[in-house]
Amino acid sequence: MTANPHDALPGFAALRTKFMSVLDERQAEIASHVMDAWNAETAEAKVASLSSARAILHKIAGTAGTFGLSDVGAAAFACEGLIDAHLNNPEGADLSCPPEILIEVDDFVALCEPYLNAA
Amino acid sequence: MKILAVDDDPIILELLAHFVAASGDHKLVTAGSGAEALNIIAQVGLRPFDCFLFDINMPEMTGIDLTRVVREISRHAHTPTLMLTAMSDKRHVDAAFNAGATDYLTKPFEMSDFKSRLGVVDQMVTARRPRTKKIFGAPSGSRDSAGPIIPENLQLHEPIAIHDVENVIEYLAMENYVAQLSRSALFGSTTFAFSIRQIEVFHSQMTNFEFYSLVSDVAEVISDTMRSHQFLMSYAGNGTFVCVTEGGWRPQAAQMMDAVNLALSQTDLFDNAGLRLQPRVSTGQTIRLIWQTGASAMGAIAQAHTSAEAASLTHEAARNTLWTVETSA
Repeated sequence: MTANPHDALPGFAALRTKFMSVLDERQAEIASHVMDAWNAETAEAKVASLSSARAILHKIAGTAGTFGLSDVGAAAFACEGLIDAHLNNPEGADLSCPPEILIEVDDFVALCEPYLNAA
Repeated sequence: MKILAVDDDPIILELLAHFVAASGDHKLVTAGSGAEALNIIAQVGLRPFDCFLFDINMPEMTGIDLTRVVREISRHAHTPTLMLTAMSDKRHVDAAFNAGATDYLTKPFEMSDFKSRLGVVDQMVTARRPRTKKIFGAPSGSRDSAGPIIPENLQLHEPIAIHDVENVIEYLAMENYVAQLSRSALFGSTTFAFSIRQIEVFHSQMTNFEFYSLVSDVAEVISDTMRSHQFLMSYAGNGTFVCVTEGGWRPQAAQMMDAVNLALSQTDLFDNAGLRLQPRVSTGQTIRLIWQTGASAMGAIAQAHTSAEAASLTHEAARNTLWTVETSA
């Protein structure tokens, strides 16, 4: 983790603790949504689960960097991009949940782990 | 300043509370959705907000839609609005400026960037307070009691904020828009300008209200004339509108000038005494933005501005010697 220029802000440490707790919940939710998409039997269910995962990834991509977790933010952004590309592809979105998304999300979850353990 | 921040992520709202507190003596109100924000704005008796911070990507009502709705509330038609954007929202930034955004902040936030952008807005709000007043009565329709805010002593060289005209944004927003254009976005973009001929005569003979009306009416005519193209335009002062085109449209300046002047000649414009006004515009150089970035792109816009004003003077000089020189439009 790199030094965070915001640490000196009053109350920032408490907010960072809160963010880590939220990150813990959110990364678990993302993994769960992506697994749901993988196992879903209908196109609608796949799209709904991937969209839910994407929405949470979007939030992490927009906040993690401010709390000094730039690599986590970048990984969330990469997952978001993969899901966007899949959902915006008219031929692909309703047929499958590509394994690349699972692998990328798995990497994202693995990246979060040491931060969460240290928090 | 009294600031309203809207984001569907509670962590972002808490973060903004810390950043705003560290940026000066401001009061922050937060909302988790566009609908909640509109309820807060609509509360009667509350002091209006001085600044809005809207997340672009929100479910149900996006920050862009929210900006559009807020701009329809006339006491907030000019309120500086900063859009909060993640990297993946960058493609929506053009639409945000078009909806009336003043600037944007990229997530994840950096305190120094946040402070400096909020500082610019704070200066803008402070500068507006002592010299502005609402001069219109209640307009009809769905708008509330106030109309556009016109400076008491409108200077010829001053940019004017014109709202309710399609594709027209404030000059500060234009500067911010151009500064954020990426190299790839500059491909296919061009800048050029329209300058109202004899603007100093109009300015010296008109009231503030008449001058504002003239400028906004000409803006509407230009915007209507170019409506089939992708562009943003801003009134930069001194009778000149600067335009930035997108989507590969390369305007032929002389043709655009003729088209706008034809439309102006077919539009009934009158001053308060009922005298018909016959404004005409000139265009100068069209400059491709492909080789420009940030500050140099603004330099290109300034060059387009200057060349349009020079063309305006040339047209007037030619008109005065019409018996020897043929002119178009």
